[in-house]
Amino acid sequence: MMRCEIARDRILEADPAELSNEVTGDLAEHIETCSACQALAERVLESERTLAGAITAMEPGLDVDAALARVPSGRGWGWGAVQGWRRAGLALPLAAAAVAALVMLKPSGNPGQAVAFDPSSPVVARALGWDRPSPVVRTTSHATVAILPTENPDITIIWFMN
Amino acid sequence: MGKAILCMAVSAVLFGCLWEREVEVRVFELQRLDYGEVVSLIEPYVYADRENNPGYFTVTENTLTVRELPENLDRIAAVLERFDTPRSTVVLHFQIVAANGYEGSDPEIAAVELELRKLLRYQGYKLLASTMLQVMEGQEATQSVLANEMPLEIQVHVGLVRGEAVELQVNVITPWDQVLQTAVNLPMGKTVVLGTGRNTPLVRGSPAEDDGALILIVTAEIS
Repeated sequence: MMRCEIARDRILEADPAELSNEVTGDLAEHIETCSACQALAERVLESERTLAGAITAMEPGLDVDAALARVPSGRGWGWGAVQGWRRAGLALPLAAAAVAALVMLKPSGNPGQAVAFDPSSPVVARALGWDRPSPVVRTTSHATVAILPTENPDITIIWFMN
Repeated sequence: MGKAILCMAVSAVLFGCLWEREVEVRVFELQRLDYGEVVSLIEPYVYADRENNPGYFTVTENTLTVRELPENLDRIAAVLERFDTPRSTVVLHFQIVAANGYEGSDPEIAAVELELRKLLRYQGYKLLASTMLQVMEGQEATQSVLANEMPLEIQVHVGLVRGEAVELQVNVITPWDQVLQTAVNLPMGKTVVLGTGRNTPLVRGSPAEDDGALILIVTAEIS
């Protein structure tokens, strides 16, 4: 039987089909029998559904390769950031499309680090590798925040998903 | 032998002078520094471990009271004069923009629109309202505007300017809903674009209808 701490890590990485028990496997089996992990899986699924609705508007006018090519080297943007996005339970298509030029953090987390959702703590997001005065954002719990650097050094876009 | 006695006598006199020196109490009005900053700045000048007449200080919200030798009080005054500078007035420029449902470009938000179009796929962006607020550091202010014929309230709390940035707490409220609530560290002279895809009455009233967004463009500068 899978332990909860392993299940929680895998939930953040899992495909929606696994989380919703559409496919069988040890994770799906654990979710079916553990109410706490089931609740977490539902929250992750809900986040993915919410963001899927935002994908239409959020898709940049660039494909992934073009977007990656735009990212200046040494700025710290990269697949780590994309992985962080994914691990936080967001839709992969959005992460891939929104590219390396986008960083998202969950409460008390670092990019690439899976963290639990904590409704009591504010979301704090900080852009990685920022070579300007570091933008920091605090907002209410459960909010998903993206800091999008732009090619104009005087403009930063901060987007609240919900 | 005689010299030694003389030295001891002089030392005794000097010691006696120090012994007898009176400490004074001086009150400083604080303008900018918080408790932690004040403590770290003045602690080296307050001799709490002096055997006779030890130094002592207390910090309340806007007041620092120090009991020390006069020369140390002068040093503290000099430190505060350098670091506890008066609070500035921060000028905030706000632009409220609706995304989607609009074709063409709006020259008033051209620079921001250019960057938005590179990253987001809304059809267009339209400036609904602009406003400006002058707020002293540490103070709050509220500004009401009409955006797309919807009354909208922008509430801000301006923190202290640290280095080249200021922390700004922003609430955007309609009569029905709070559509944006955040705190952002805003570099002076730079533009921060706060956007939310949340469906709001403001956006509902616009051509964006279901998939629009509310965007608040904020720029800060020292008055």
